[in-house]
Amino acid sequence: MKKIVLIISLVILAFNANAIDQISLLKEANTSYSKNDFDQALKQYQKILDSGYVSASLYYNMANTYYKSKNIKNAILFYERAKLLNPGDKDIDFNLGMARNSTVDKIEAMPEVFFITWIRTIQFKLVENSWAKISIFCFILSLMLFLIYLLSKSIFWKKFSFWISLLIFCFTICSFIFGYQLKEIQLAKNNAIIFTPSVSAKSSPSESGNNLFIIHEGTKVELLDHVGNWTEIKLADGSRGWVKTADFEII
Amino acid sequence: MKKLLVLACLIGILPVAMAQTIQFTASAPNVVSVGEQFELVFSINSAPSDVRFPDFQDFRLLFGPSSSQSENFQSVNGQTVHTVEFGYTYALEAIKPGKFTIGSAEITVKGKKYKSNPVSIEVVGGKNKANPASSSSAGTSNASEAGKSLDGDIYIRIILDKSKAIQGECITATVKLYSKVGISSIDKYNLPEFDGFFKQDIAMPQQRGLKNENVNGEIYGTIILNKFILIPQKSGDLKIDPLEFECTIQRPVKTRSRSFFDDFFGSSVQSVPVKLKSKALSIHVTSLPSNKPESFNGAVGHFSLDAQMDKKAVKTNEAISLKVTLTGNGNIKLIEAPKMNFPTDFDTYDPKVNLNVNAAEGGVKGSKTFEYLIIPRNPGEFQIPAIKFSYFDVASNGYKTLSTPDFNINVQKGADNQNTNVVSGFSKEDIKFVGKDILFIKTDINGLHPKNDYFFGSVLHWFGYIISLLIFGAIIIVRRRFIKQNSNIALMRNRRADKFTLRHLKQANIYLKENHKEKFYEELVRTLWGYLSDKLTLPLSELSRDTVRSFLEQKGVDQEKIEQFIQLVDNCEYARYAPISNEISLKEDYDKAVDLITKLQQKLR
Repeated sequence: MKKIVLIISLVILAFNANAIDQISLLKEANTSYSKNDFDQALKQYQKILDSGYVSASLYYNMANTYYKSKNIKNAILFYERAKLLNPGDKDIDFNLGMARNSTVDKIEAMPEVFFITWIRTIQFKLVENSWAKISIFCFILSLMLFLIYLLSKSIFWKKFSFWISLLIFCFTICSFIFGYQLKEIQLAKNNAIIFTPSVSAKSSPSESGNNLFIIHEGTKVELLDHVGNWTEIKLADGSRGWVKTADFEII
Repeated sequence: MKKLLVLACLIGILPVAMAQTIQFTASAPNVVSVGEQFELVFSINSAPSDVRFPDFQDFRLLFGPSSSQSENFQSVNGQTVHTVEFGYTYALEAIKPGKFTIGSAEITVKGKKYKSNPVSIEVVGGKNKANPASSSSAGTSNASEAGKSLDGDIYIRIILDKSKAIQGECITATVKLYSKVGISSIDKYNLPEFDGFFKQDIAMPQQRGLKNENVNGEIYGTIILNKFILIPQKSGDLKIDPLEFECTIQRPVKTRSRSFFDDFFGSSVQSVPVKLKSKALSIHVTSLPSNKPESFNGAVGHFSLDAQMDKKAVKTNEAISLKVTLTGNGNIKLIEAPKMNFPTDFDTYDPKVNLNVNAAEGGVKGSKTFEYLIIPRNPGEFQIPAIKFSYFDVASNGYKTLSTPDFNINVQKGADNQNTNVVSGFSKEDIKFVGKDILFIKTDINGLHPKNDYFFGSVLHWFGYIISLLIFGAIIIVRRRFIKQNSNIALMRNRRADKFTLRHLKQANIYLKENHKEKFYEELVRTLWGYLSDKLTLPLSELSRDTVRSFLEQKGVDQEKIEQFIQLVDNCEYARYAPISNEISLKEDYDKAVDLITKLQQKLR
């Protein structure tokens, strides 16, 4: 028992030391950016990434650095990565919009049903870990109210606590689903940014397929299927086609 | 040679001398061949009194001078102009090749002496091409004759003054027609597309003279058809396609049957259509050096810059005009307005561009004026920074930057100021977005976490649910137990009563067997009282015959049994201290007590 405690405490200590290193590196990189030394900033940000640490701010800052270095496709890629980690951030949306202005393709997204948009708005307000915590909190609350229902002698309190408990239990489930979805989006890796300056999408996964449409670097696509080194993509407007796997970078 | 004169007449008439000033000129073809006859004409626009002609020692004088006189009356708007022209014509023959100059003639008009211009004549020797007709041999068909001998007789060229140029430099191109035969009409004259060039025509004089020119020892009549400036717009080897030219030439033809008339009238003339093409040209254009100044926008040549502002102190909403003038030689037509940095608070309009250029050989000269209208809307001291203009100087092969001084403008508040009624919100200004940029980076350093490290779905997350569920379950179970215990206190007592009673009855039984009368009864009374105390959950001290009676009645015990119980207790208490007793009565009392307790047990359970 003593040994296990010792090991755990050592691991935590090592983890913290590493994290502190990364935080100081992040500060340095931010300073480099402020001094318009984008090459240096990029190297430092990349170093943090290489050590296995991420955060929405890190991706966002990297994207800004790429944007300033006129590397639009990478800027878009990293804004999208930042958006995955923190989908509700307005700053990311704004800068992503700026970066998209510099791309060639203007694709009209298919409209979403209005209530889905509402739900997404609420869902994107928080990150998946926050939803997990809210879910646990609501679960405890609903259990407590259920206890009140069981123990109370007054009919009013019994009724009141029962319904509230049921409502909060629904919240528990909703927040769990929200968190689950957010995590799934991050892990699914089924979106990508086109990196080749100009790609013609084919009707079938081979060079001999008919050319369907031409897309340019910086365009976001959804990945549907893989055959060999070909991947079926779907644009925001719903058009589908096959491109080579080397033509894009997964978000 | 007469044919050439015909051509000259077709294209233009020799310039007519002006009336008032006296002009005395000599004219002759500038190139002739040996043995060729030509005319030397001295002309004067006034009546001469004494004429002295130069010697012609290098030429053979065939005849002359023959004099001529022409008078011309012209009436324009009631004014009559009278011009007189006297001409002296010599017919000369060239005898030897070389370059010769015929000296000037001298005349006296109204007591004043005038000299004509000296004429230089080049005499080309050797070939017998002086008469084109003699070159064609008899016996061949006309068509083939035309095709054969045309090769050298007539051709057209585009002549560029440079073979190398820098992008944007002016190149003068000349279209020249060379011919040894007479031309009766021009049917087609198509200039090629000058791909990659900006082309500007040079105005040509209406009357163009025909000139003789020596080309590799042969004499051609030449005429310049067109001149223009080409400005290359891109670098590399630029091609100029051949130009297409079609004309009808007059060809002398010898008829097959030589008749008397042929000799008499000379050879007959035939009209032959001819198609000509100039050679395709290529010019090497080098791109401009890369160290371009910031204010450079493609000007090449030589320029000067001037800027004038009409007012230095104005009131708000008064217009100021700023004229920027570029003067020079180069691709001035293509120059865009220099970049202006007006204070952002000013209303500015697109400049009015005034172009005054003249294309001439060697480039396009002229000036370009940009007139800016600016209206200050708010009072204050403003400055328009110096206007900069850069061009590539071909002569020095480098960039040059011109600059004007800064302009300072003092704007006073005008009487009728729109901005005074800001309260109405009418002329409130929106914030001007000068540029657009991304938002700054996020400086919060929190939130850095190892990749793929999620709280969601982690053991801790699930523990959250499980532990809270366990606590909930535990609370429920504890509570259940508590309720159960509470409700079973009476039963517990009951159970204790049975145990207690049994134990005491056993004890009493032991005393009975020992025949220990006193102790037996004592035990029996205690059993009875204790039994009731437990069953009725009453302390012993509160038990009396009355309370027992009332409580048992409440529990619904028969009156008879209550009486039996009380009587038994009385009996026992009595017998305890009574001297007389036997074993049988003890046994009876014991049985009675057991019987009674058993019966009460059914009611008091």
